[in-house]
Amino acid sequence: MSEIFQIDRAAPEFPESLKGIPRAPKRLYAIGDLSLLKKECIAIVGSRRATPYGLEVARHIARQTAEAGLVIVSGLAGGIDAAGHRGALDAPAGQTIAVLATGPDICYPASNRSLYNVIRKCGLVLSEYPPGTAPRNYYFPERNRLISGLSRAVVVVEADLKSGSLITVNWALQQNRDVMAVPGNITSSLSRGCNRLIQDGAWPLLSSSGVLEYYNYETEKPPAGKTGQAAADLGTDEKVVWKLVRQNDGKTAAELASLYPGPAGQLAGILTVLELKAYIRLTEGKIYIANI
Amino acid sequence: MYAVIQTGALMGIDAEAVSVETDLANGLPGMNIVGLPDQSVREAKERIRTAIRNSGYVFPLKRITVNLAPADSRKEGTHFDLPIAISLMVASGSIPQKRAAAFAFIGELSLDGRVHPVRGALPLAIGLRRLDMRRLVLPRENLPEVSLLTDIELYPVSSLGEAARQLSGEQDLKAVVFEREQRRQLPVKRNLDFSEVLGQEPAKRALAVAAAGAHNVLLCGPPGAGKTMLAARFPGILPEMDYEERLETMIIQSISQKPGSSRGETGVRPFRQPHHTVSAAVLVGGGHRPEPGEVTLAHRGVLFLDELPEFRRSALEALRQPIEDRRVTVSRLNGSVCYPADFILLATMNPCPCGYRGVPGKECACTETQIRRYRNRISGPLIDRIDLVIDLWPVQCEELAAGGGGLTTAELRRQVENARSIQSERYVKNDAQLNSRLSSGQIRQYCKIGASGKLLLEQAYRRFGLSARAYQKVLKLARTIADLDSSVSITDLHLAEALRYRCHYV
Repeated sequence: MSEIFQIDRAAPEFPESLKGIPRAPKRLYAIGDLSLLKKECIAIVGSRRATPYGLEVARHIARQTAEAGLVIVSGLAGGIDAAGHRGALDAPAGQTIAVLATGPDICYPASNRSLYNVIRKCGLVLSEYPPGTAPRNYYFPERNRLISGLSRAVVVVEADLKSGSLITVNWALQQNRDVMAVPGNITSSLSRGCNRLIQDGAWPLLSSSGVLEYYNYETEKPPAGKTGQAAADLGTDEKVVWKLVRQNDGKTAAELASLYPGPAGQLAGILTVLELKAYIRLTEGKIYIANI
Repeated sequence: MYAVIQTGALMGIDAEAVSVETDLANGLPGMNIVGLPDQSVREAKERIRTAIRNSGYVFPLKRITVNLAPADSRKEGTHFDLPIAISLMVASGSIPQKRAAAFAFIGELSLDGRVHPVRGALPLAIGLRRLDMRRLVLPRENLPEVSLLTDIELYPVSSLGEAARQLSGEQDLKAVVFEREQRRQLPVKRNLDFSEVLGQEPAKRALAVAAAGAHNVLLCGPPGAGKTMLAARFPGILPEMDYEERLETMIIQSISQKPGSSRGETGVRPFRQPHHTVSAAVLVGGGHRPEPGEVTLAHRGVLFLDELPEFRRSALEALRQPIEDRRVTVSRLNGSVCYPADFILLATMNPCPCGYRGVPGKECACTETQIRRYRNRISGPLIDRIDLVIDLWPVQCEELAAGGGGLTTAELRRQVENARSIQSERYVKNDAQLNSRLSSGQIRQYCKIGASGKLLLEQAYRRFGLSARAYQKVLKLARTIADLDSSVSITDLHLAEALRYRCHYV
């Protein structure tokens, strides 16, 4: 069992960002790396029942933002929250804070236990509730004020019009934090909240490096070979398929097969090779160009 | 007066010889059957008494004792009627013992003396043949199902009177001996063709791989993607059965179908499609006297489980042993029976409970928990036994309109047959006949890959998080893909294609 730190408001570890917010917690409980509390944080929040698009985007934003040295804060819920944490951990030396609505020693929901264990080791688990506290439904909106309070900006990836994420946004506005939202299909109910936020003045994130661009961080340029025209480490057939994917982003394997002159088996093999070489990625059966 | 007649008793799909001994003694008239007869055999005496009388013979007014030897195994089935009746008539002097002793008998009697067809005529005939009893008197309706046996003399009869007259020499005995046809071209129904499935070429290819190596398949896709359509066409690309396989499937038909309903061997591989409410006992076999289940009825064919996660957990878990052992042992109070169960599992499922996850234009409202619960209904050990997972997505309108059939059943089947013949040549000295049946030792022996292949697998191992079991599946699949390509060695492209068919979410 790792040590549970108790951080009073007077303690030097207590994050400055939380001192100024309305109804600041008197005491925090934490497991993990306390130095993260001194770093600049970005919150990534969104629906628990996200679409594949939302999960993908959350993970990418988290990874790119974490790569720049920012800490990703979220609530360890399923869906977007978990994708945000995972994206941060994907980045080399990426760091993340999970703010819980239970005691810091309790993993809720239990389905995220493996993620919880990783964050305890490599990141920070934070809570204003003492160890052993079981979840209560009114703890969650309370907890959300810490997620926004810790962060410089709150990124909403996917949210319906009535959503816990919008509670976090309200806290962020009260605490004078930036709010950013990922635009989505106007037909998707899970993008309605985000699109509405943008209409109301939230900063729209038009790429996964949008957070960094907003704060003028150095953004790493995508590797030229991958999105550019030439691809040095590809064979002739692989180049044909790569060109095909570039012209038809987001198609299924069957749709590509109808455009590909060779046999379907060969195409399947080449797609795997391209996936292994990180040119393309597959999400829910569709094939996309990697490194958006 | 004493008489003995040969017949057989069914033990699952095997048969053992049974002698029917009859003794007539003075005393209070009556008939006793001993030798562990079950209800159906005990009732035989009522049918026999009436049938003998209505055939114009005398039922002896004696104390009759019938013994079914060996007396320590249970006898069941109505096929004991005819041998008991004949043995009684021999004992009472209506039929000469010497002639009757040269035959074995099976058949059920009706009260008017007609002979009705029986269940399990084929395994009984095979069991008797093994004991070198090559002359069998049997019901005429059972003739088609034993037509695969070429080395025994069959004497079909329609009534007890006919049998008695033939045996006593009043009528000519005429044997039927079937000839082994040279690979009869069977009029197999081919009204389902893969060319009717538009725009699903990768899935067709994957099914050809499955058929070539007899790999178990899971088709995963939303409603309307064509899962059932593809599955229904799958048996069409399986190679024709050889003699042994035809015999095995006929035996199972013989013991499981309505007696005498078989119209003979059709050469069509079984395609079993149990409903998802099926119980474990129906799926793997069971019942008071152990009956073959769906896994056995699908022997040498396809077991199609549509909507796999909707099946009961107990039923799915019961599948594990038959998939692994290729046979199933059903144990009940009245003994245990081993049935063959060598099938290709073909299953379908949706990506989520509502079915529409990831489909453009459809809102999927399933939560992560719901999806996980749905997918968890298929346990890890079961998924481990499925070699190919095929993702299917609905085809866009333009493509449907564009037509273009792509690969046809005939073409795919030619590829599959070619790959199968390569395998049987390679495994001529092994018990494994197919790539999917390779043990881990045999995988090392036959699925050798080069240095670049190892590197590719290593990358995949890291990137896709392959398990050790998945690693072996990929090797077996790659072997099949290489065979489809008529390639001796497994190339990197074969490996890469095999990796495409891995399971993405377990």
